[in-house]
Amino acid sequence: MPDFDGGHYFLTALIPVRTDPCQDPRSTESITSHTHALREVLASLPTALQSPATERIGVNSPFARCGRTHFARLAVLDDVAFNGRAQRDPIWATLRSALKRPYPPTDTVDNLPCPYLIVVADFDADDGEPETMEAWARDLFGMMEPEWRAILEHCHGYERVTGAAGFARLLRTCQVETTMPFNDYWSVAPPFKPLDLLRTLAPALVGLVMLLLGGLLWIFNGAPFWRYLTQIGIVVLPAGLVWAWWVVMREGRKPFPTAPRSDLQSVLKALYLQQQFTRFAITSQGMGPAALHASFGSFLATHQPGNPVLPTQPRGVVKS
Amino acid sequence: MTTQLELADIQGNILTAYGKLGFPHGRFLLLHVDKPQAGRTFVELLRRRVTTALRWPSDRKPNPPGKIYQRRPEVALNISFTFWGLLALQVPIRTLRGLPDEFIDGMAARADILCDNFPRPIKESWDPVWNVDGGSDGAVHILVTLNAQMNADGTPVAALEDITREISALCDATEGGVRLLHGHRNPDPAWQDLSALMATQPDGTRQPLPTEHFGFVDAIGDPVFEGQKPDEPNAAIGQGKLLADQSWVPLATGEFLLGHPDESQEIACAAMPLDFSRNGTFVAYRKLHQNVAAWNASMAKLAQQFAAVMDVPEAEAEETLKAKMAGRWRDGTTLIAAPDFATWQALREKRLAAEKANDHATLAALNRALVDFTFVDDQTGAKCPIGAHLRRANTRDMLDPHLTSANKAERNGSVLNNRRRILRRGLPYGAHDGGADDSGEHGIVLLATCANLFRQFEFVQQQWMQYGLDFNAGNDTCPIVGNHGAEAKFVIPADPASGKPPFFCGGLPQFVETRGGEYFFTPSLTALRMIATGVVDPT
Repeated sequence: MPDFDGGHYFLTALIPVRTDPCQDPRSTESITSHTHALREVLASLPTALQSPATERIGVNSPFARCGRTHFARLAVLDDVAFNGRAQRDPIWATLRSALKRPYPPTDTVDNLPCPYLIVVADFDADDGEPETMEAWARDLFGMMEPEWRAILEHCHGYERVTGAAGFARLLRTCQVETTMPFNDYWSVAPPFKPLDLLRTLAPALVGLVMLLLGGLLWIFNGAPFWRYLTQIGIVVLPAGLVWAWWVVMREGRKPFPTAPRSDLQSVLKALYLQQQFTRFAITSQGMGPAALHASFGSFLATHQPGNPVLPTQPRGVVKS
Repeated sequence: MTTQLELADIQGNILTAYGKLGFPHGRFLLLHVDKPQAGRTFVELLRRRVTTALRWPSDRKPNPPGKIYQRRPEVALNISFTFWGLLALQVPIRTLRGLPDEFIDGMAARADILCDNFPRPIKESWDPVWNVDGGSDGAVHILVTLNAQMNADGTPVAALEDITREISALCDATEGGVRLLHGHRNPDPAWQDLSALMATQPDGTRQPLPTEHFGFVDAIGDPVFEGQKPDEPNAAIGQGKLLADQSWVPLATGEFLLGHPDESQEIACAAMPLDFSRNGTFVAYRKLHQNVAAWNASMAKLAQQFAAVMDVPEAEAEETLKAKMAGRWRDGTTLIAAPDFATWQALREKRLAAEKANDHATLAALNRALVDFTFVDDQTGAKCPIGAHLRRANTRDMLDPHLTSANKAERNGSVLNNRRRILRRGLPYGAHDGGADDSGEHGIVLLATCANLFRQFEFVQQQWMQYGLDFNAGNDTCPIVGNHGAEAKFVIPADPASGKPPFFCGGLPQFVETRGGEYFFTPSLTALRMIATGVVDPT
């Protein structure tokens, strides 16, 4: 279930964009397309504060209002890209021509029925249940309803967004599986339990032994017992292989455990503490034990390492 | 068959640094072309004077008579062009469109990428001559570099003045077709003078020093590539690329000369026809002002703290701090060879003794150690800090993801460094008088030479000098040439076994600032002929 991994939900949704003409929201004179208008809305959405210069401006991404969202991205997908003609083997092409089944002169160029708005986000979650995603979406809508309305009015299904619940349902309807989540918070390998290969393959091995042993003795001995054993082996071997396959896939589907302190609140506090502690190290180097003790006491009192809530780095400020 | 370079086709400042060949003086002139035909005539008249990479016999061993050989010039002359210069000389658009983006942009347009708008915007800090937009009147079109030998009293040979006058007269003769640009912050604003720092000998003569204004011996490390030094089979050791089996070989020629295979084993795209690009290269001209007073004051202040924390004498603390920032002690000895002050002193004494005894073997071994080292045995930076200038400029094997692997067969050598190398040419400029403030003119002109400015020069400048992510050093910049904002710091890791804490250098002021610069194309002699005669044919 790659939508959920390592204590984070990775949402991907593709919301179809309307293709009918659209009144330009910035001018009564001109008519434009929803795709164009949507792109203007997206382009004017503030991004996170990624540099000292943007920190001074202070106009932050609306997603920073949400205390669970690590990362969010909105983009317009116009169409699928044609990947070029498929490779053709000249020998095979000649053979096909000789058999009057030549390659078609052109490859099919596929297209999407309409542009799509891509919504990608990852956020803290306890599980990968659909209701968990919907709960996050309802929260988020409450925090940035005007922005979502400005975006979604250009999409199909906007009429269903009557409120937070409608927004969450629209996302769920348009959700596609995230097949490659990027989980960056494990700095070391998570505690894995390696698969016991012998145990997994044991039924298949038993089937193989039955098949071989039974088969050989049946040929040389001819007793019906060996024939039955062979026939059972024929059934047990593939069944065992299927079971092993199922076990491997079941284990593979299990999400990574949550990395320690990888929720947004803890990550922000860690970034804050890292910067403050560096400054503390610079100012306190060379102090005597008593002064260092007093200084560190004051550091603890001011920055409260045990308190994840405050003081901390503001959300949406990318700084370390 | 190894690469055989056509030395007579390659400009002489690419393969070697003139400073090391007995040319301690320099004078760099910038020109603007108003009339294309006059510009081409100017190039045509100058191109026969261009110093090529042909080697000249040493003065001690004159060539046998009857043999044709390149005489050692009194003044080496070389010529390079900006994009706007090539356009002004009417090089065809079809050729120009094959030139790289960053070269067409020019250095001023790349100021934010290069972090040059700090501490002041380049419009305020650069010499006026560099601050003219590409398409405008007075923009830099041609760079002529003169590198001169010197008289015994340390002054440049008279030929330098003669050639300068000749170039000036050539410009006058074009009646405004080619202009010598003024606006250098230099005693004479018509050019940039350069000179090695000098020491006075007991007999009153002057001796050029290999040091720059902060006091370090400079220009020790320089890449060695295939075909560059065919007579020196060991030149690649420590200067070329490190293979997985830990042996050194020269880098691919194409990293430094266009039209040759590079480290990705391809001949990179270049401006057509191939003859226009082949054996040419690109140069980033950087006039780097050095805040010597700020450097001295900052080192003295930090040395007090360092001495107190590490419990060492202040003089030793100051030397150690400087070495930790540079990666080398003042005389060039690396921190890998001499991780602490006592070892450095021992090595200095060893060198002195060897010099006295004329012990060539020991001297050769000591010189070899200046370049022949890797970082595999110093992964914590306890000897040479991870953020030191030396490690940032040339990461050697440091970025190999399998460096820590117990299985040596997995190692990759310097593979992540091989495409980020630059040839360093140039000389110091200005007076080395240790003035009370840094308002004077003192610094270095660096000519960073490489086949791809974007991949090599700009990457090293932006990612390695002005950022620390590749070294797990966060936002820390180079302690010497990096930009130092309010929270700039430099971490000197300590050997855990020593029981000493790491040392943080905080409150670093700005030590180096750019005062001007531009991207130039240094063509081959073939391309120079085509440009001068107006016969570049891209079809």
